[in-house]
Amino acid sequence: MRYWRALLLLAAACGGTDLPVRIGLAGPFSDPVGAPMRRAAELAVSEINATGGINGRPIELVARNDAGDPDSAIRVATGLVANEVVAVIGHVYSGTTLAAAPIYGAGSDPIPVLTPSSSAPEVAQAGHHVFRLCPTDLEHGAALATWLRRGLGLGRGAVLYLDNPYGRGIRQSFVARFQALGGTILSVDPYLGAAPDVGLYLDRLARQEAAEFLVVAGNREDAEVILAQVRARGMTMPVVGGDGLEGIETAGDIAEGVYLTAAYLPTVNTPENRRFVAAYRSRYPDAGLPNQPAAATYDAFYLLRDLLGSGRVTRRALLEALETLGEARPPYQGVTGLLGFDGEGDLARTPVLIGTVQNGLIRPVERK
Amino acid sequence: MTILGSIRNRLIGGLGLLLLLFLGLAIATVGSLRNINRAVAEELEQLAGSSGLTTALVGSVADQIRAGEAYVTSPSAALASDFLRFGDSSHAHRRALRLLPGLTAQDQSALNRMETSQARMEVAYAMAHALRDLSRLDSAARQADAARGPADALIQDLRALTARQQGRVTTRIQDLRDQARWREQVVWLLLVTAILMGGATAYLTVRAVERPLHQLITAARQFGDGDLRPLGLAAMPKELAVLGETMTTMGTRLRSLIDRVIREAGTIGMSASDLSAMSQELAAGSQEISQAIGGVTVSAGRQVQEVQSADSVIASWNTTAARDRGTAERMAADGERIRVLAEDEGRDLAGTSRLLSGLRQSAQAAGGQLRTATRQLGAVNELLDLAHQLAAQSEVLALNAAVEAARAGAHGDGMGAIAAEARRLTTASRAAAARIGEGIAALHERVGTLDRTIQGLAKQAFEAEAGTQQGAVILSEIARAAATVRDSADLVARAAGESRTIAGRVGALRAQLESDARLNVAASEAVTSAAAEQAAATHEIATSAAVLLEASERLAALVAEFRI
Repeated sequence: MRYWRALLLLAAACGGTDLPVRIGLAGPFSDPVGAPMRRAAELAVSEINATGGINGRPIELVARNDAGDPDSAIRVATGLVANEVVAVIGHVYSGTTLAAAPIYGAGSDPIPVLTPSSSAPEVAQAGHHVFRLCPTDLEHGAALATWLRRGLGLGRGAVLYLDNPYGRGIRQSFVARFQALGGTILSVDPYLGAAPDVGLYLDRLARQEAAEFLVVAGNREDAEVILAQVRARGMTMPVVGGDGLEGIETAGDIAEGVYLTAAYLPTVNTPENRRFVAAYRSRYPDAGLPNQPAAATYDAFYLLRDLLGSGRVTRRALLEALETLGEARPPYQGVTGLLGFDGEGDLARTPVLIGTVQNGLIRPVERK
Repeated sequence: MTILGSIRNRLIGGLGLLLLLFLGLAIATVGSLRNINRAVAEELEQLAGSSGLTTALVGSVADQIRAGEAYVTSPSAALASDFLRFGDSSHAHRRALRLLPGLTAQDQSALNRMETSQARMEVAYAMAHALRDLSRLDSAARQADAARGPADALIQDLRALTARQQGRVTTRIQDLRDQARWREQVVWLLLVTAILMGGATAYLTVRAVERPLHQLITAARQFGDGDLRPLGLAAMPKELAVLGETMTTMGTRLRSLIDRVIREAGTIGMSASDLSAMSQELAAGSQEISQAIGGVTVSAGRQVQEVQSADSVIASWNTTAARDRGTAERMAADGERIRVLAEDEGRDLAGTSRLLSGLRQSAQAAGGQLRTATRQLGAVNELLDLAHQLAAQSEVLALNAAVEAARAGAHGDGMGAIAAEARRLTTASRAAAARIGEGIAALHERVGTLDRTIQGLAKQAFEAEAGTQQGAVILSEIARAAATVRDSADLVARAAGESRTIAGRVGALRAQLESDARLNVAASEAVTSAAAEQAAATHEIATSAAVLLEASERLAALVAEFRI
């Protein structure tokens, strides 16, 4: 069966066939971060196929839910390899991306991976086949520290971090940059996801009465729980976080005033973004605004369409095209910005936005 | 001739094959060693990396646990910082482990579990620290105890991962050993094959060379023994075949050479015999020459004497020449006189001849007239014949008229009268014709007589004319002969003068001849001496011919030892 499929793919690669181009999609589709990603993927695929696909060949979306779990990510990756996809867009979290990357990179014909939002620094070492469509945690953490220290003029604070690669990355880069800017970190404490109990940390922090802000280096769900615990203790200091907090604006009043970093904001006023957001809301009117993984996923599909359409539909050709994007090839102007990669597969230009929740929306306050 | 038909190609082929085998052997060996070295290096590097990372991870985890435990008993910012730092170090080591090559999905899951365990451990210790900071010591201790569970799980997973890594390394090393053993066997097999092929190549090459070489040695010995008969060599490698062909050619040429030497020896022998005989003849000839030269010498002496005696002859020759000259001058005068007389007589005879010629021409004219008259008599004869024809016709007419008169009877009287007249006419005609005939005959006779007379006269005139013309011719010839005599006499006179001059020259020649005769005497004497020397040389030639003959016989005997 594998051989027949390989022959069909070979025939498709040689042209003269309308066999679909298989592109894998991996992410936590069941959670609020991953769901918009899938919607954006389906939107992009439908748009591309409606306009002729890739040189006349339609895109076949092979979506697999990794539930944000590294073990699930390994199984998903194994399944996508078996499906002989040309490329994978995913995974969302750094932990899942790091777990799955070796699976995609095994063998003599590695599968190119475009992760929309895995921002852990070590993702850059996951292999030459992994390309990242977002800034790293180091940049998020550093941008956040700079904003707090210089933008808000705060000098002391505490850090709660989700004890996973993402949270540790944000924490490390934030602490290092904040201390480098003369700030003081009162405490750094880890927590585990899924309804974390950070009451003890908050009690200790409340006793100190010195913290001017609280950094939550985790995801939106964690942040909502933590924010509730903070506010429950009458603590009014600003709660800030990285791009993992994206979507927290929908949490209601409790989220008002939260600062966060973002690689993408749906409120950014660019033609590409306006068109994307309009299409997204038109297709999914009840789904709210798209998030960064959704926008980056949307960009990833169009980028693949352009690169595969300009050459042979093979993994190797795609890898070569991705490696030269922004250098030998011109960068791609997408919804999230101008996309081009450096030697490690990271974006050459990494705009990090600072947003704050106002009236249920994240408004950009500064762009570095 | 095949490509392996020469020793060179066989050696090149065999050695090339050997070289290829050894090259393949070397490549296989070097490749195997390189692959094994590379694999061992990779495995060692992986093992070292894995071992180092595992050790570092174990150490950092232990350090983190110690810092976490220490903070519970005696909190400090330094311990909090250490706890965080060792935790970061542990995570870094674990991430590095994740990037090691050859990890299985089981290993990846183990790493995921380890991360979770470490996170749980860190959170537990962090909460214990918070409790400690909140002065809830018992709770802090219990929380710290709760951290040991994930720490133990972390250590257990780490040990399991290490064990799997070591197991893989062991398996890989065993694979490498098996691979090395297999490659060793292949190398040995290649080596044995190379040795066998080398031996076979050497054996075949030596065998290919040895037999033809033995044939060539035998052939060389055969030549050395003087046996130049054809060799009859079998097929052999190219180079030895060239040598064999060369020896065969050499034998052929030697046989031809010996054959020619034998023939030449025979020829030399015969030539030597001939030379000996010729030298004897030459010696005899030399003797005869000596004798002849002796005769020549004597003859030359006599010639000198005779030349000296020729002086008187030359003197009498001068006298005779003077006398001949006088006689010739007289003869010239006589001849001149005879010529003048002959010319005068000739002129007289020419006048007589002209008269006779006129007479002859007149007689010829008279003859012509007589012949004209004779022709006119012929016309008279024609008339006579006509008269005879008229007489005959009249006779016939008379006869016819008589017949018709008889038929008519009484009525034929007229016809009878006509017949009678016709008969009379016939008779008269015949009589007239007879008389005419007689007259013509008489005329013919007279004209003939006259013609003969005239012809006789013309003949006599012609003969006289011819005689005078002949006399004139004779006289003319006499005149020319007399002129010739005169001229001859002049010539004789001049010849006599020249004879005297020649006599003088003959005298000079005689002196020269005398000198030459004397030289001939001296030359004869020299020739006699040379003849003596030639006789000696001829003797030597005879001796040499004998030696040559003997040598040719020896040469023939020597050549006869060769078998061709």
